[in-house]
Amino acid sequence: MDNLDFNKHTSKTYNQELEDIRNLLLNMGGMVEKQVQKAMQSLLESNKKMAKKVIKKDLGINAMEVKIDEECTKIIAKRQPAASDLRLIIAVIKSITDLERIGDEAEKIAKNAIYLIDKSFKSDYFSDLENLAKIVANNLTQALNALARLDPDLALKIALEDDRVDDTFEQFNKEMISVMALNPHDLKNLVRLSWSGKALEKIGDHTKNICEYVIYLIKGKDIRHLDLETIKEEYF
Amino acid sequence: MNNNTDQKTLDSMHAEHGKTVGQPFCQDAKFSTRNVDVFYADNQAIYDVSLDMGKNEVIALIGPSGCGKSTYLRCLNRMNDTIDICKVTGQLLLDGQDIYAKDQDPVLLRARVGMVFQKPNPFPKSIYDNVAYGPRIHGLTSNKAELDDLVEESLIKAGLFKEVKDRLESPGTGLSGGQQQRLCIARTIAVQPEVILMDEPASALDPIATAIIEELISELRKNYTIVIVTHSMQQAARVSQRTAYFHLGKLIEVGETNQIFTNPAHDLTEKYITGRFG
Repeated sequence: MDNLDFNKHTSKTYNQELEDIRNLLLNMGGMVEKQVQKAMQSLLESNKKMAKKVIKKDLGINAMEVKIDEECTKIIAKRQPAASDLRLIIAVIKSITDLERIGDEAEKIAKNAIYLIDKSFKSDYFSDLENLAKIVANNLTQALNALARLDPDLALKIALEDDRVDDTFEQFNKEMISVMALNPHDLKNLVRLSWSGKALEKIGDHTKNICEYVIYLIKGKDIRHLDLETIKEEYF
Repeated sequence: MNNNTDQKTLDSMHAEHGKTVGQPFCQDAKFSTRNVDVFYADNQAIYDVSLDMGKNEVIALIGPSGCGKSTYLRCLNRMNDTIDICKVTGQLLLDGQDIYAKDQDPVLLRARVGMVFQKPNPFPKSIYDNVAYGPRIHGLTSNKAELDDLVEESLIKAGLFKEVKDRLESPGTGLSGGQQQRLCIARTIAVQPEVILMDEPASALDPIATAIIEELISELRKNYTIVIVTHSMQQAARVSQRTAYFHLGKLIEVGETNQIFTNPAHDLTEKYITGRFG
């Protein structure tokens, strides 16, 4: 049942309540997307002020998660949602957990940026990290688009893209290990760089989870921990 | 239908039937109905409904007012016989026997297929006599001691005995709404039915009395097949194993209750249970 109308309930108030939590979710998605972008920018451009701002803004994301949770709880208590409405609420509750964790990963990148800026550390490997960040940020944007448009095809496409994120991270990680072996004096700085790569890889995992919730919401199938290629054949 | 129909045969029956989405048939059917049409004079109220009700199963019939779910329920113990203009066609088998056969006594059928109504309707008699009424007219006991035992057993099964054991001679109408409904259930159980039909059994009750009735339904399922009509989606979700959705006299979808309430297959079912009908 791909065609879901969340604004066709007999109760207009209910329509509004569901619309409100969808809007809050998309706002939170936008905030998190910006956090990842700014955190990476602060690291690549050695912008300490920007990194500090990212850390401060994470509190707003945490507050947003709590607010959306409260709104979902109210809807469950008041409306006892069923079918696609129930799946929407579940998908929202699950998605905001992943968005909040993406926010935490962005904060980690910003903290690493501050550390590296304080050590005046620059590396050629920033560009490899930037490549990874571009794939991750693009996937996150597309996953949020799939969520906004309720587009399961786009969600599946992006979920499948996570393999590319993992491969790119693996390659970056191998390089980091070699560089660390050759430059033991820079070990502390290189570890921070490596941690930033790991944070990006985790953002990729959370993005994939969000895509899976979009598919659950639209198709009604919980595809977590299943082989995505099989899912593609069976449900698309 | 053969009560031991295997899964493969069932799958092919579901596929062939084609009109109702989901799984209208079951392996261990107590009631099997096929191609049931119901007419009130020239107006058709039920269109070609085929549905099985399994042994020890609670099946919920849901749908908007006027969809035919109560009409269909009333076919199952021939309550519609009391309406002159009502005509029922198709096949309705209880344990393989045609309940509309000419030699079928409707009174005996109603002893096998009991009914509990929306509004508690105890007789203007004592609590004891309300429960003893059915066994007396059907001659189920041969002496007072046996009747006493049957009344007590029925009240225990209905979860009412503890509350009324010291006032069995008090009028049934003096009980609270929830207690009256449980008395009606005890009255139904007393004639030792095989199937219990419930038409909105808790709609006139408060949430606590409703919870007690729902607990009771889950308990009764061990011994009976229960068919319940309800307008409460949550109640259907809580008490039943399968749910059947009716719309404008047609059986649209039947499925496992969990599936119907999380991921219904038919658009009309989705619209109804999420409140999208204007």
